[in-house]
Amino acid sequence: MEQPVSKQTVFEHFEGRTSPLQRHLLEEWLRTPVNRETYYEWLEEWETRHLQYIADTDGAMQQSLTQLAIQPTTEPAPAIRKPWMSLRRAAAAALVLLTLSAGLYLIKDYVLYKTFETAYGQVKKITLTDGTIVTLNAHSTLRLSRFGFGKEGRHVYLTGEADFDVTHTPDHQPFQVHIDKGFDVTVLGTQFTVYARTRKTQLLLKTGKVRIDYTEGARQRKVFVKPGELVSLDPQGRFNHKTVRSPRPYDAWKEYRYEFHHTPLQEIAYMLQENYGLQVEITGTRLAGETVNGTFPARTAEELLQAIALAYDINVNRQDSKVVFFE
Amino acid sequence: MEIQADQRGDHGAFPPERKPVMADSEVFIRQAFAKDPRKGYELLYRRYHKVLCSHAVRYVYSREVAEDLVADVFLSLWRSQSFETVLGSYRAYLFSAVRKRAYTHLQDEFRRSGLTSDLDEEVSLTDDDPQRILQFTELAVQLENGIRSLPPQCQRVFLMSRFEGRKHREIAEELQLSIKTVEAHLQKALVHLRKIVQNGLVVMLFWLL
Repeated sequence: MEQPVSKQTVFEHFEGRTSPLQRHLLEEWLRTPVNRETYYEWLEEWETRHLQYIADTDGAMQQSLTQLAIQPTTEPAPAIRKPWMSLRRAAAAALVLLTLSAGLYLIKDYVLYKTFETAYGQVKKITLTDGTIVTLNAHSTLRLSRFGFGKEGRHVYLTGEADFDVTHTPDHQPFQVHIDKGFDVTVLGTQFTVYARTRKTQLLLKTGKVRIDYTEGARQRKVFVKPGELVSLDPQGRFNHKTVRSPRPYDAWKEYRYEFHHTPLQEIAYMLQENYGLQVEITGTRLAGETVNGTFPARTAEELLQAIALAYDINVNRQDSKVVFFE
Repeated sequence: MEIQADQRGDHGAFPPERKPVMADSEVFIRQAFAKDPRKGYELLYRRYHKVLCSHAVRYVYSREVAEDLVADVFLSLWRSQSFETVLGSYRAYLFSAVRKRAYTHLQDEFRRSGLTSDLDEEVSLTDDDPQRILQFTELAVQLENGIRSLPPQCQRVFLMSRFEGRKHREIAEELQLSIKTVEAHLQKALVHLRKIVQNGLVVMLFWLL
């Protein structure tokens, strides 16, 4: 289907960078109701990427519900809300532990390495000295040489999950992401997302070209990746290579959103464990086979759980760091 | 900045994103409204509140005002029960209502502050008129540029007063200015912005003819 107006043009219009001709095209394009819907959809996406500030949704919603003289939903709420108090304590404890262990760790490596870390539930954007932008997802660590970075090549060490927007240097210096388990990514200037946790290691390339060196069995191998390709390595060392339709499910976390496409509940459970440190149990045969669709904006595990629970009529119960989904 | 999923065929890998992703999540909200309106209302709030406040603040430059008018839009959706009758998406309804209300607020504000006399005409373009949609977006850009072009001190005073909601006296103390100077900066900023809003309106009237 011919699309006379691209998303990029519309984004440029949001930023005030359209020519009169493009504006004219936009105007024509907006005459169709379907396109007006698309316009607002992109406006929402653009605004989400450029939030001016973070409004307090919970507070506003409670106030609004009071004004309507209706109570916030009662049935699933007690199950969800009460135990969450202890989540804060658990999170605080986790944070203390994390800080303590990070402290010990830092003493050893502090002199040589600069370390960026995120706690459970935290997303952090880092600009490196070469202009490369790294967005670290929750519970992740990025380490790089304090003195050598940019002088003796560009090497970073990652555990967890991160999105990279790598700057191309004038002297074409390669940028290398090292991940344990013999999985190294080499690039010049490009955008990609890396996932490196115990379950598997995977990389999604958005633009540019990257080379991956990895060990399969005892053999050293290398593979070149093209944009739109998702490569992964499971703990057994099996390599998988496929093309995906959209990068969104793999990097939506950058904007505190979760995109699910027929995502099994079990997959979401893993994610909650990795990003928020929760142990999730799923009971009942219906739920075991349940898959989730849709986009959920959520800054915290609580928001995400509530949204899924409301949308899918799933009950959620939580004690300490244990979460149970039940019918 | 990455704007992927743009022109098809560019790198071949990502076809233009199609609608179901977003539409999907509204399907749940709709179902929730049908089953239990309160649930629907809660879901709608969680889905759009933050992004709408951020959008509104581009026009009114005050968190408080932005949040108030977003709350009004949600409330009136509830009171008029239009969540049952909205044609198209909630997203389009909410965004267009918030933009309209933000614009009306600006007009009211300038009228109240005596800065203008000729902003009275109510613009009667329909909400889904392409011109109007484009102009609302352009107005936000123009306001941003307008504020950016203020002298640094004036801009600072304006943002502290509006965005952060600080009192004139506090600003004066923090920046070591007299209250009179603070007020002069604010007046200057408002006159400047009024011109922008007014020009925006002139363009709108022009298109009406």
